[in-house]
Amino acid sequence: MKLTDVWGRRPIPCREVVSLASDYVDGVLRRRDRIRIDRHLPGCPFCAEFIRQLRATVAALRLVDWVRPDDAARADLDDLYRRWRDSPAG
Amino acid sequence: MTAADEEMVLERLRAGDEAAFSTLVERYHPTLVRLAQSYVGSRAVAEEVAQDTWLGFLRGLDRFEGRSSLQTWLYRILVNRARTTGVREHRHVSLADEDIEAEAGRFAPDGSWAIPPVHWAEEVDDRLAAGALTGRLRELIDALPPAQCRVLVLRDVHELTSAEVCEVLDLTEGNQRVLLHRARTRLRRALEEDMAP
Repeated sequence: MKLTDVWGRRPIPCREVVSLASDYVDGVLRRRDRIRIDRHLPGCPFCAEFIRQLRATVAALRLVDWVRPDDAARADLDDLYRRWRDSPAG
Repeated sequence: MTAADEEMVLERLRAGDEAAFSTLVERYHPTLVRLAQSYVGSRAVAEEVAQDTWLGFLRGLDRFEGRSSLQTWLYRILVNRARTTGVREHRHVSLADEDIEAEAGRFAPDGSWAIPPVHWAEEVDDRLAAGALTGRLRELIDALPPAQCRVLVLRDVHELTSAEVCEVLDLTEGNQRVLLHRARTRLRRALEEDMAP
């Protein structure tokens, strides 16, 4: 591994790419680190795959939904609302 | 919900419109229960905390001025209540318990990969398209350490902004990012284990 690039900067090791990966996919990394990763990825299939997988994971999470409230829970809550609405204190 | 939608829902709630309340319950109750569970452990207690949150929400309706979004405000009430209940039940979890980096041990001393990731990015897309992955993701989210779980649910499942998550959970921006990173990399790792041939 070369110690520095032509601008005298130290190339980023894979371990550091991984530790910054979440901020990288969110686009909130400081510019300097983003550029170091942008330069690293084309030459490193492993880190490129890691970043792709992290993006796929985040995309998959957006589609998760939770179990809907059951009828009993819903009835309790409707009741709670009516009691609140109909109580003079509000 | 846009600010205008929220204003309309709030007006209908104040006017006593039951359907408006049902819409909110349908939309937010499952998340309230999920978040509460990360503080109190049991599903039954979490359900109680969520109900109690709705009562607090209704009682505060006249005071709500829209400085934060309706959902941020609702989650904030939940977190306050769940914390009190969680402490009462001695279920508090310290951050130190969660201090595990999912990818530790996969790198050589020079920082390059010793155990590189197994290729799967497209496979996840296929399983997602088939709808086969969301159930598994729910299980994996349930198994996350509680603080990571909360951040991931709010940021990635419900797409709150980082500032909103910090407000709801009382976190610094830095801690929020660390927890999100750990949660995401842990899930990625678990999916990798699932996909491995």
